[in-house]
Amino acid sequence: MKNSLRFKITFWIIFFLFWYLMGMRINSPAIFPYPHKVLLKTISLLSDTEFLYNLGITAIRSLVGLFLAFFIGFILGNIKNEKFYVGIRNIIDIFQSNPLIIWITLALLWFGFGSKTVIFTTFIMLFPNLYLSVYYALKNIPTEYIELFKIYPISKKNYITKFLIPYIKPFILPVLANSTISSFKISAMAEFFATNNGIGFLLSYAKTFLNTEYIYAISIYLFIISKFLEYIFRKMNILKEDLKL
Amino acid sequence: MTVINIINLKKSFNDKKVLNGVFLKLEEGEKIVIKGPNGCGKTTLLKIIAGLIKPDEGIVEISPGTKISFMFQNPIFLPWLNMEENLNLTCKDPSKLKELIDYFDLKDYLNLFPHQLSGGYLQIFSFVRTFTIPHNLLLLDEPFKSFDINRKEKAKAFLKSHLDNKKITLLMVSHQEDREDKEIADKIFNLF
Repeated sequence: MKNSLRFKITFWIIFFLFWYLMGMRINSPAIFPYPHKVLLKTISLLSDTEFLYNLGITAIRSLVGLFLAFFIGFILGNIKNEKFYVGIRNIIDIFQSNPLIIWITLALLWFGFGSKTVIFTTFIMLFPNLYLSVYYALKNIPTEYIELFKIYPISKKNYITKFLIPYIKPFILPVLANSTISSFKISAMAEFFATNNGIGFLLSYAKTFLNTEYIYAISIYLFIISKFLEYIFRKMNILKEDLKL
Repeated sequence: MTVINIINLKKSFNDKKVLNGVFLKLEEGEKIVIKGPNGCGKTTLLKIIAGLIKPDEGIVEISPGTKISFMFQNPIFLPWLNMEENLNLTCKDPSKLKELIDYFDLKDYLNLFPHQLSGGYLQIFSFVRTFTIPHNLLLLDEPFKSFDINRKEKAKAFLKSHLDNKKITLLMVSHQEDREDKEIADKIFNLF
């Protein structure tokens, strides 16, 4: 057995053992349910159509927010004007200096209860990194390539497809991959306060009725989704391999 | 007809004077080799003529209708394209490209990517590319730098035949020690 696999198995055994012992010590399913009960709840959710429906809604909202952030970030990132950049940079500073909860609150005031608030919040949190990755990738095109195409001009189509996209890909894809992973978490957070459906709403609902097992089960799904996306992006060589023991 | 007329050209990088009052005139079909020690501004002069760098002072007149081809000192290729794709991307004269691929026997290397080739081969591909766009002014920056002896001779022979009986003007940067430049050039221009 490989060292890394042995380490992972040992880690998870210790983790669940610790969890079990904590459950025994606290002795209150409403605060700290036993791991086997959470696991059973997690498995049962697989056949829960209401849960799957809400999971789908969250996925759609997060993808719409991600798409908007990427699309607008890509378009604006292509504008090389320094003054425009400084303007956007100031707006980004405002986006990044305020915590997520401020944006959820403001979005609730502007857009009211519902999907728009979730999508807006996801957009606000993802846009800065996507815009900056496009802008800096284009700003830092090596002089040698600029000189090459001045002497050996090529068509706009070839410039975009054979130079620009392959050149920009390694700068943007890791940011896009991380944004995809984050988008789900941000949307769930926004849904907690701003919607009456989606994973975030289910969490909020479960919290109100102290359905702790359900909350734990949902958090396990969020963890699995995030790890699954990470795995896919690593397999596609978009994200770097994690530390191996 | 004067192809290039340079008057009192000056260029500095970070307060270091690289070109300090250069005067140079090239007539159509003339072949000049620029020589000088490292850092004397040979490459900078070529890049200013090609319009890649702006001078600080002075006048650079290039006759209208001049088509420039430039061979860079360090070969520049896109690392994600193989050599065939790299050459086809910028090529405007496929028959010339084919002729040169055969002449330098490069067929077996076309499928390789730049990082799979030695500096010498990249230099040859860069040399080949120079002749695949329309030009009547050739700017070559140390073109034979990393060539082995056989390829150097072949490249020189090709360059000579290319320049023969044609109204192509040549401005070539060469390292101080290269003695065979006299075979190609009408004049040597020392840049100090």
